[in-house]
Amino acid sequence: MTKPLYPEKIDDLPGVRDTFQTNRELQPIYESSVRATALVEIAAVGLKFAGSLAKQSGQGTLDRITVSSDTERLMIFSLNVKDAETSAPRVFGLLTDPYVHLEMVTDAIGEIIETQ
Amino acid sequence: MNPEQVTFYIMRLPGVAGCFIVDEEGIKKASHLPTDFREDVIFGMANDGLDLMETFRAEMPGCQEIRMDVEGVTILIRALMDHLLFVFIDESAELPTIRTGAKVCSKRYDPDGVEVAAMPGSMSEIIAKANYNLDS
Repeated sequence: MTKPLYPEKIDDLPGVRDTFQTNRELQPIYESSVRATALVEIAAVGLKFAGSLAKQSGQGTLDRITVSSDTERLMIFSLNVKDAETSAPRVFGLLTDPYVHLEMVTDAIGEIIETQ
Repeated sequence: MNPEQVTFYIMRLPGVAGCFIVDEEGIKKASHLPTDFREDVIFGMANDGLDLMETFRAEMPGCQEIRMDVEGVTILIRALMDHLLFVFIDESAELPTIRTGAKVCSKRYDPDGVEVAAMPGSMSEIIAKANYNLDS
């Protein structure tokens, strides 16, 4: 069974409000809040449309999605983790303050992984 | 600024490979398209783009912009009053104002835990695995 990756540390990253993680079947393995539970469902449906859109565009395979408003930002991406038991990719969803960028988050998670 | 003017100016930004605008009914209003884009592909993308925007608006009422990073390209979908703007941005472009960083920290490992390549986990692969669950 896929385990969540350092959920408390990710929740504590600057600017992060709510987070979720799912397995590769998009079944939740961690939700930080009720809002995160709702975002898992939204993300699953959104990924389906995004996958279809990427396929139609003929541009390649979908790597990640960022959704922005004036007040918040939602990032959905996958990571493969150096863990023989749970090497299957996880899907991460982070709802953040609007100033937070995807690169900041992936760099921070990368640092968390490296230091564990 | 009308849709034709918007696409005219966006097409002149460095790294922009193409853009087009659709209205709420998915009808193409103006277009400067990446090569080989057929009408039916545009209509399909427009409809999926509208569905995508509406999906995220369900939980993010202020949703204005969706960026999809695919291999080598970012597809930017931006709400523009009663239109949706699609922009295709080349991965190599330095466009900090209209593009988030695409630096990749995710890595892949073989069953022994040895890193085999530094690359993003493919959402498409996951979506393919999950399609049954999403459809049921």
